[in-house]
Amino acid sequence: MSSTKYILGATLAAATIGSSLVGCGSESQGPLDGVDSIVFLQRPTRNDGMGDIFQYTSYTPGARLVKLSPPTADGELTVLCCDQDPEYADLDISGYDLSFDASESTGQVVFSGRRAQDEAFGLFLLRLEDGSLEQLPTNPNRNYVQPVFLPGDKIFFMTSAVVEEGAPQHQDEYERGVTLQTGVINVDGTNEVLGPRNLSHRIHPTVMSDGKILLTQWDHLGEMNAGHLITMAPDMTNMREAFGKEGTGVTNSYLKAREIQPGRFIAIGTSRDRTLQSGALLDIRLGADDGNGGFTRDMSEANASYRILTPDVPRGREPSSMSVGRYYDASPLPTGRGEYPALLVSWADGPVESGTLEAAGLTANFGVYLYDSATQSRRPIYDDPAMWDIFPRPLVSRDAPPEIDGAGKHQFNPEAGLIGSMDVYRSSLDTFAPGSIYGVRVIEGFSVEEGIPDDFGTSEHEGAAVLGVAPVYADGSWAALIPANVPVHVQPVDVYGLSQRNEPVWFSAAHGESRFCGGCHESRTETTIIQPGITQAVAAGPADLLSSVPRFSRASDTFTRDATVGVPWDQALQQVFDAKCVSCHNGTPGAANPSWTLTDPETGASFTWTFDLRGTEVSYGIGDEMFSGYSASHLSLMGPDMVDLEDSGLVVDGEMKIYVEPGNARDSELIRKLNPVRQFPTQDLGDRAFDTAEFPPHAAAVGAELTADEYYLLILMADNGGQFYSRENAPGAP
Amino acid sequence: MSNTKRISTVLAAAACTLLLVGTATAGRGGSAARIQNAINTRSSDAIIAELERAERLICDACIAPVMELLDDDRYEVREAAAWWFARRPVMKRQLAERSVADLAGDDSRLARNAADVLGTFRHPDAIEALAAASSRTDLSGEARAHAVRALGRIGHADANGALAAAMSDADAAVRYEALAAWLDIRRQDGAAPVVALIDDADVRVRAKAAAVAGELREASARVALEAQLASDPDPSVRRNAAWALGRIGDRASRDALEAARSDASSLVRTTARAAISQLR
Repeated sequence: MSSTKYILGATLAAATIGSSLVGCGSESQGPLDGVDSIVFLQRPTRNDGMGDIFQYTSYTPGARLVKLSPPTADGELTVLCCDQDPEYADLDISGYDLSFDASESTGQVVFSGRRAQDEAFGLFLLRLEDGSLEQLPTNPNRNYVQPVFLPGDKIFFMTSAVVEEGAPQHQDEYERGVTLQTGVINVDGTNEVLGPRNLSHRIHPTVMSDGKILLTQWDHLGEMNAGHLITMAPDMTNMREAFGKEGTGVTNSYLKAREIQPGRFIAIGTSRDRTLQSGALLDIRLGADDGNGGFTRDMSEANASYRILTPDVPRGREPSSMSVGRYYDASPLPTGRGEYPALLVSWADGPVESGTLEAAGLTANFGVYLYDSATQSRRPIYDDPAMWDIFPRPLVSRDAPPEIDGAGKHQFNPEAGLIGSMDVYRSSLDTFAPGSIYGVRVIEGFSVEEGIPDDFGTSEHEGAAVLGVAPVYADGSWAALIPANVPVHVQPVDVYGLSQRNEPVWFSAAHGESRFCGGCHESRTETTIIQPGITQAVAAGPADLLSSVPRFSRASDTFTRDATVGVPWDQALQQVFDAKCVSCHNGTPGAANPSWTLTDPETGASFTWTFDLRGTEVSYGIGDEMFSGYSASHLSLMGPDMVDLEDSGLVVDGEMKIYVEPGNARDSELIRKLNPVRQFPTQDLGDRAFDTAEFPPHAAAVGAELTADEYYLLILMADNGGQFYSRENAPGAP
Repeated sequence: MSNTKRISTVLAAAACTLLLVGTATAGRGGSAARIQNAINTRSSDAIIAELERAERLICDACIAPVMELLDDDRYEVREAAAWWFARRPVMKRQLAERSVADLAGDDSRLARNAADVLGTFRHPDAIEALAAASSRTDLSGEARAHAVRALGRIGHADANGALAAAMSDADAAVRYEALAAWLDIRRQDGAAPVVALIDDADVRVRAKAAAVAGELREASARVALEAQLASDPDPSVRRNAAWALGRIGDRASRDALEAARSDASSLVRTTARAAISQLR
């Protein structure tokens, strides 16, 4: 079917096009040689509901999949889907993928679509031979989006469905959306399997030439809050960081990555919000040139590098300029894999930024272009101003990657995940003195979906439940069985229970999955041969860290060293403060209770706070803006957020200390002042964590010595993140 | 440190442990001006983004404009504004009290917005007020529907009674929200109240009832679902029924699912085929 075409007029980009990018009517199409057709998605234009890179529920009827043959300005546009079936008349389509054998007259398209009658996006298959359609049998209550074909007649997808039966899906307390996680289903609709979860979203998977999956993971743990690239096996095990951290990054988020050569990807780099999920084009290499047409040598996050292919395009959220615009996505071409590749892109001109567009009564106008990264110029191919013309792909068959195995299975408990390290002292993050690590603490993460009132306290950290501490053996190994499909992060701890390092990334293990690392964030440039069976930890048997305890039962009954799971501030800590601290630290100004004052220099309004460890509910703030509502002890120890105070332009007068550094008990003023006692393997009040000459134990000195369990509670509070709420005191706990 | 200084000086002295370089932070860089500018654009994405950036900003000048957003005509904007106040527990408590009063009033628009606020706050203390509002026929159907939705957002099993009652509401939108909310209750056990809606007059309600019964594997829904699969005029409903029967997995559904393999709709056939493979 042919339809009206909207060809871009003369543009600066077109005027500067290089000679290799010849327009229609030429004998050679340059980078498009061998490409008889391209496929792309047309979605009705929209602004809202697309600003945040994680949003996936935007629905506007009228989308269609089209083919342009030849892929030139005067090519014929044919609707592939879904005019052929009236049941799809009000369809919106959010993403699609072509099967490996897709060509002009064979193969399949899998797409995520939603009809007006449905409440969520589902997965659909389109057969190119005859245009027939079918819907895959996914959960109609949940969204299924961003599908990609896997070898072996499978489809990988992202979904809001929950792998853990009966548990709510994670909802990031900051972004608040129901998170997307991973899943796989057979092309015939059978055997849907959902993957182990991250605490925040995972989006935009793509299949790598080696058979692995690359996708964007939102890492949100304390102050960490960014979308990084990770890899995993097609069975959703073996998750590993790929790009964006360890100093490799160039902006906040990386998404819609597509492999152009083995180990080399073109991705969008952008701010998290206000950019309509579009940004600059980045050329990312996960390793060094392997001399064999790829970038797979020493492939690791530490060795990853990037090149910005569109240097003028903002990588933040500011409005883009005229003729600069932003890119929605990019696709490699069969012949365009040089140092400066030609790409099939979707691009919109002008200020591609939610607020600017809405204020002007405009929408972004994404059209299809051929981008020459050597000359940084675009050749227009197709643009319908009423539609977002996005995700252009050459309609050519491609080699299917190999079917690869996932993580090995362990034999200890098929329902649990097995995690551990070969040698915890091997670390690229820190140098740990031999014998300094007693064990590895494993902390489960959860968010507001468990009945927390949209805030965990004055901390940025989300819900925490300590599953336990797995001992480190003489060979540096540790191993633990944990509940499957639950996001956890780990902390190597010393004999005082103090974290030596806070691994700032959530990971999880599937039922029966064995997730062993070489070390503790070991050097990614070294070859690591994982043979956990030879470690002392495995030989002795992994520590069982609540692996069989149901989610809602993973909570503290008492607050001893070994029984503490969550640290509810009002139930656990306040008892300690009331019994041991408040006789002195009670809000009465003086040496024991320093004061500070906040002043708004513009209005002169001020607020004075005096240190107070009582459980009285208090607030702080200026004018009508009153914060906290938590206890005096919470505010005194956690303090106002310093960055927010700076943003507020307030002036502080007096002694304002940050007594607890969330996620870091060791460097917290409170913990140093108390100088906690030995916890492992046995508790010993006579052995202190810090030099007693420099840090005389305060509680003992004033005759209010804490028990070893009480010291440990305070350490857990700080190392967990200083939350007020936990599973134990969640107001909405079932 | 006892002298007057700007916060930035304090910051410089404070230990800052970003454990890895290259991190990006949440909730930073907000200001009253940025919020107001975003409001001026009318873009809900921009407004939400700026509210998130001002997550914990001490900002007296922000109060009035964000308070107005609680009455915005867009749900997502009201939700974000309520979330912003949820970060400020003292104000949250005041707002919760005001919202409970609005729910008890006779202004349906205020009641709708109040329900959204209470749903965002997620505190089970609001269940009683929301439950009462959800059954008040003097309020608009929209207000009742939002009260029901808020019960789902709170997600506490104490709301089950009110949700079951709302499934009998005369307004289909309320019944639909009650079904959705039923699924949002943590540790929800079964879907018996849902079964009666499988042959509801409203097509969206029927489709949702089937989907909820399936997700919760409500065995008592089997016969009704089989009938729905065989005869419902809407393909989405039949498709959901097939999916639900697969989830329930009773081999007695085989004949119904086999017949559905040749359903006229492409929406149904693959689901029926896959559901057969799930029968025990």
